[in-house]
Amino acid sequence: MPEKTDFGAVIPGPETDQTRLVELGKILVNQLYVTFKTAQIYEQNNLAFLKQSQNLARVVEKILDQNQQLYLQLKNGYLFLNDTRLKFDFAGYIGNKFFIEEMQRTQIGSIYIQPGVTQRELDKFTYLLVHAEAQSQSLFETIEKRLSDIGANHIVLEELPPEEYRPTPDQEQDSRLIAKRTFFKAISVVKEVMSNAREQKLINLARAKRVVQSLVDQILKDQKLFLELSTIKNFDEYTFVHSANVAVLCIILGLRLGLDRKELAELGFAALFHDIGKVKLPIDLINKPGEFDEFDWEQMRKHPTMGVKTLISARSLDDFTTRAVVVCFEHHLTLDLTGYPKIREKRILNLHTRILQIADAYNAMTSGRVYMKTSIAPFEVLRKMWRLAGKGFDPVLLKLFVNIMGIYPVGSLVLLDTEEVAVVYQANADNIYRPKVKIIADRSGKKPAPISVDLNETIGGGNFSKSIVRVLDAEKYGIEVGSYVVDY
Amino acid sequence: MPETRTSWEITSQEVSLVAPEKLRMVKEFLAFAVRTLKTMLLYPQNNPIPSEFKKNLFEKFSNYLDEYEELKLVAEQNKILLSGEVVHEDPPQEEGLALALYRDGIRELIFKNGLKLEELENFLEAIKVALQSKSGEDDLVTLLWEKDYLHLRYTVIEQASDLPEPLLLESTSTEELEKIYYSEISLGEEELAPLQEGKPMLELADLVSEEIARLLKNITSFEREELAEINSLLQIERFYRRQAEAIPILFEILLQEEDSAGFNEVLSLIEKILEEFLADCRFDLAAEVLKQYRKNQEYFRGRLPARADRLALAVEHWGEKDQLSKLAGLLNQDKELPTDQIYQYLVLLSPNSIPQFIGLLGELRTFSSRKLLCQVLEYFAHNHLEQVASGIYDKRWYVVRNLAMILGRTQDPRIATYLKRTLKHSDFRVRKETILALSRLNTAEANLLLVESLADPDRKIRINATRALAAAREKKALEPLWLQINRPDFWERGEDEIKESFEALVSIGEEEGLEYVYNYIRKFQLWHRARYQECKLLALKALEKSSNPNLSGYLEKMTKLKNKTIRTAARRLLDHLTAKSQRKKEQTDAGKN
Repeated sequence: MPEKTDFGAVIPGPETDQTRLVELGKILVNQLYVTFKTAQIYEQNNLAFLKQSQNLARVVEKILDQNQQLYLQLKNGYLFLNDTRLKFDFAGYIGNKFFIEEMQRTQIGSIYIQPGVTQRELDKFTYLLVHAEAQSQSLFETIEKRLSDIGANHIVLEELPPEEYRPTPDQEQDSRLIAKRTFFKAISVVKEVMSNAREQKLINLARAKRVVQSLVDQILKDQKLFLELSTIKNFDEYTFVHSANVAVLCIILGLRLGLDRKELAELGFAALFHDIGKVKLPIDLINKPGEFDEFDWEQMRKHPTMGVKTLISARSLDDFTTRAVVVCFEHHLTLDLTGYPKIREKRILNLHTRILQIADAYNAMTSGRVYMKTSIAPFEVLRKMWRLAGKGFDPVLLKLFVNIMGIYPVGSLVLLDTEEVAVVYQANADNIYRPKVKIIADRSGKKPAPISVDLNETIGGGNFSKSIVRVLDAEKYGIEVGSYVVDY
Repeated sequence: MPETRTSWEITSQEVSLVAPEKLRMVKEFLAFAVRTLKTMLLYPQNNPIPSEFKKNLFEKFSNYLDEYEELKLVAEQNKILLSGEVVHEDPPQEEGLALALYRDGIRELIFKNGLKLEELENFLEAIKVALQSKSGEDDLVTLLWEKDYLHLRYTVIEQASDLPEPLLLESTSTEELEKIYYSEISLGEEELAPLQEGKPMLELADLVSEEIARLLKNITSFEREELAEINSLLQIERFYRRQAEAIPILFEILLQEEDSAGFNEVLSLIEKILEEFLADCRFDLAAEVLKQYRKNQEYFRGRLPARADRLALAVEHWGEKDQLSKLAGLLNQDKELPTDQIYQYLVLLSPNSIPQFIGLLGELRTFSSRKLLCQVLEYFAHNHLEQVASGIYDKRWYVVRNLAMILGRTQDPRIATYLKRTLKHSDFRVRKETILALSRLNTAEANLLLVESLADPDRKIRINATRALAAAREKKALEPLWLQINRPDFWERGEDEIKESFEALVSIGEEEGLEYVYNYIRKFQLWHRARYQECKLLALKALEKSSNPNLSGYLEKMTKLKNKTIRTAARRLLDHLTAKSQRKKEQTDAGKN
């Protein structure tokens, strides 16, 4: 059991060779990321680049000293260093993702660095990777040849095997289709389980588990698409779409935190069924005409405990069910344990609960399921959620969520400085103030076919072509943003 | 990650000419795989037999993959194929390997060179769990997904039931269901005010605390403290106790239930999970549930006595015969069990379960499980001696023997009353254990019982009784000991018993004992002189144990007896004692100087 220090941080247990290697691997990948990024901006002889390159050389040297070889390989979507899989936590997520994409882009399957490599070789190699362009041959072949030409003899590359390739446009289209199918499967599973629970039929949650695992796999491949799907608001099955959306948002947030696959699947499962208790509410409450009064809400607030009972009676208490039970029970408790249900013994809210609370609130408010039944623009929702940070939502998780969603989350309707109206369809991880948008109306108000623009791209002189001036109320203008974000 | 295809995309493989050697290898190790699975189903997990099978199977797999790089198998309903050739067929009307794969939608398995033993073991374990699963909750696909295979891929078909319903249909959700899905996030009036366009995101005036101000200061990057905060959250997750987390939640709900129906409903859910914990050998969790029962019993006692009683009944239930019989079944399996956890669980049951424990003692077949149960009974015996002691009326000698041992361990003076009965048990093993139990007590009553045992027909019992009495220096044993020694057949007893008897006489009797021994040694024997001589020599030797100051006087007298052998032995002993005494004196004098 790792030690706990007074202030709660945990000192890891004894180091093994493997844990040391994993740690070094994480530092290596992060340094590669930083060096690559610097190479994109600066010239090869620039001090800023040279400094990062020096850091890179130091890390490489350390690995070679301890292990006599450095073999970085991309396999099954993961990075391996000397056959040891590198697992990245929250802090290393972006670097890891970037580097994998780079390897896929350049079709490099593995990088073998031999002892004796110099910093100069590493400089040239890094610069080459960042700026290489395919010529008459493939990009990999171009890079390989150039590597030989520049005398980087201690660096050997292997080509990426076909199964690791980035999908072709046709394959991308297939992937999108599979992702959509998975998303709608999730909706259908929620509906099936909820309906069976309501009618007290046998609940088979095994199918739900499968769907959640597929969701995790698909989101690991392409989370952007799922963020797009989560903007669908007017879909007829929306009552169950909410649960699926919350599951998607939870998995994405969990992924950023560095949760592993199994933990993500547990999180997704818990999210799908966090409101299962609602189907057990009395019929007369459901059939009551008009709005709910305080007594009705009092009944409603029993749904967390009802959900716990439903889950435990439906299944054996495996890891999935337990997590779902915990999240179901806690999801209306605030960080200071006010909220409901009232509890006698203090507890620390589970991490998965904290994640779900953010995703649940965000999706509920952006989809018009708040009490007053008006939807609120994503930008505004995030602003409102900040007011509740520290009490209703874990503040640092909320900040992370904002970073994922962007200041202008997917589905936001915005006005540009060119007086065009656009819909945000993708956040930019590099710059959360400058997402990718689809321009849906020009300055005269005409609606041409939507044009995609990356607001983070610069034109001559390093200036941005367009910028967001303000956020608009989509409902006020009668614009269904979902239809611009994803074609379904 | 599994590949998913629709059923019409998995076409039958082209029947190609597979090398006979390749075919033979695959058939052989698939047959071996089936046998391996059988051993895994038969034997406990940590048994060496299935482990050996797995290692051998791995070797066969590795040899094949080293040669051919990849193995691609196709699963049909009861067959497995390699390039169209059947390499395995399930026995008729039996759920075999092929069906296990096929049933859960797996159609293709691809093993790659580099496959690790751990991967193969995980794969087999998943199939085993899927085969054993009765409820259908454990799906092979989900089980395989949980393990990160690097050298194994599988293709799962999308079955008709998996396909999502067509999009954009009319809503099938009822109005009532839609109504339920209102979120309860209540926003204040100000928040419900009409949206003000253009209001920037980051207005510090909106903030509720300095902490939030700090967080928003730089929205795009995370400071060290924030990273530490995230790491701290992730570390808390490391202490997440999985199934144990459900226990306090259920009991919280139990406390909140207003009506009996709800209370009973939650109780039945608690019973359900306790049942599962026991079936999974999670006795630590089962013990935690019992602790919570007791804790909540206390809570309800002053408030709602009926509920407290209901909880007490719940605890009773787990100590009933049928429940403990299941436990016995588990303990009788030849597998490693967490005995300390089982102990913690059993001692939390009601004392009314004691008769069941005693009954169980006679049914357990392994030493370790009996030992465990004895420890449990010992625990209960401290406060419920009479109930535990009632086991001495059991018809099975081995149960009574264990009970005698348990009672002895308590060292409670009251046990002598019960051991009186076991001392008369027909089986000498019971009597022997009773002697040991009595010897721990060193009370007058216990010693009297030991004295009675000097006349026991069994030699070992007599010896143990003698030893115990010597250790206790029980004066009342002197006369009976002397009576035993003077029996005409005493010389027929074993050397060890004779020796023990004289030594006891000497250590208990002190000077009186010396007198007894001297009288014995100088007694004239008409018959069996040689044997009596041996006894006398043993008696003389026993004098070494005496620390009485008059010993040398008696020895002097013995050196003047007619019996030359005795004289010599006595002289030798006297000289030895004198020399010893002298040495001691010299050491003392040296110490003083």
